Amino acid sequence: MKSDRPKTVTLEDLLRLKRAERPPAEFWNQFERELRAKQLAALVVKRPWWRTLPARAFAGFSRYHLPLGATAVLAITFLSVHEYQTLTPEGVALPVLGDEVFETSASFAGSAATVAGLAEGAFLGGEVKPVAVANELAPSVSREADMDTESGAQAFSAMAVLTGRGDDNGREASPSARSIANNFAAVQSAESPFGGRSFLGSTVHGFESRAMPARQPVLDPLAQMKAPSDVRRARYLGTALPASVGVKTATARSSERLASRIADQRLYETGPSRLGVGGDRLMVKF
Amino acid sequence: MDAPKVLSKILVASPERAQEADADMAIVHLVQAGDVAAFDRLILRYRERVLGIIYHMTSNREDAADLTQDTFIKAFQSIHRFGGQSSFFTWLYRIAVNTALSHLRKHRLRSFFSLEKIDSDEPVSKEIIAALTDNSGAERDTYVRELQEKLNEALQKLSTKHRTVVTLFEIDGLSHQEIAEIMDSSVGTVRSRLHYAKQLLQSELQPYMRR
Repeated sequence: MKSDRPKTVTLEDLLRLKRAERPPAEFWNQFERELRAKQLAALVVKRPWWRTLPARAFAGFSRYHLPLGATAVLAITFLSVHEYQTLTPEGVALPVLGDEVFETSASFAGSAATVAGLAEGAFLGGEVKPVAVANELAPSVSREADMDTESGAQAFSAMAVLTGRGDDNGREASPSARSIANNFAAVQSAESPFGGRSFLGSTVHGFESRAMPARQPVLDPLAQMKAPSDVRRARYLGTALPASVGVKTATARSSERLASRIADQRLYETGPSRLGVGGDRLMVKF
Repeated sequence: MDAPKVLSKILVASPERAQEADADMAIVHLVQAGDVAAFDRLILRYRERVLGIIYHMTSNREDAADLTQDTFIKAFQSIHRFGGQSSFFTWLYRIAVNTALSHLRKHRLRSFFSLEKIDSDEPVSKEIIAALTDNSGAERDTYVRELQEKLNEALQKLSTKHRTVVTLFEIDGLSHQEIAEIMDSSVGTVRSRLHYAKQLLQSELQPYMRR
């Protein structure tokens, strides 16, 4: 049978042999199932990762939406009130601003020491020295400057204690706190109606030493002078009436006016009983 | 769609391909109109050929099966963009070749064979095998298995482009023109690559050729 074989086997024949490499029939069943699964998966469009990222990131927070929202609202409310009170020009907002006011005390004391040092330098040498020199001189300031500084610091410390806040880390005060402190000092020293007590009820030293003493009402000299007409009237009345009449007469006149007023009132009240109509006449009884 | 141009390309290929192209276009229109089940007919018609191309390019049947499925998925997803500028099988082959080439680029360093069994009952393969060996039974099967491995080794020594040309021309029986369309190159380039690839394969498979 060898004579039946082809003489030559070429490269094309060998490559044609590869066509016979075929999968078995059961392969196509599995191929069909896998292809169906891939087709179904392809029908569901997969969203890109940058669209699903926010949902994945906040997936764990879904149960905390309500508490987080309520906390956020409370925080915004607190900050709004805080900012509003910070911007209020009156120093009445001290309980909220206690921290800032307390922080102001250090700078206030330092500035007072500087001013005192400058004043000392000017007093001693007759020449104003630079601030640096004034700071060096600050420990040896005069007694008044010490008192002022100390009292100012004590006052602000007391305010800080009253507000329940405060630390002494010496941070720089904000301009608003400084202005509030200045306003408070001015109000305390000029208009304190409580005689050296703070409006919060505690005694404050230092400011009361700066506070103006309660002055007697100043009388205008012109107001003390009597008008010429009054002088003339007094002279005429003095000659016409006895000296004892004075106050008694006035009292009697006022009592008479009161009695007549009461009488009129009684007249009005008893009016219907005093009035009477008879025939064509109207009778009034007195 | 430029119908005369498409028709001329199809006629250049072969009359059988022209008839296939017309039938394919009818099914494609159905799929584009919303008849998704009609795409199954295209799958049944081309799955073995697409699998064969990819299998001969990769020499791995598992990869070939996955890549064939990916090819049909891509075709299904893009079929609404297919306007008929070429025949459907050319368009589908292009998707298959590009999918296989992309896979080979990604797994350049991984190369192991997972071969299908040669159907020795087929007349052509039966004749060739009979010409190559006098033995029968177990020895014959062993020889065929060895020859099969040598063929795949020789193909894997080619570059992907040369391997593609050889696969499409010698194994699948496409014309130069069709291969040029599928590979988006000129006919001359296809001829040149085919000549060079055959020279390499002859040198590799010389012991198995009889003159």
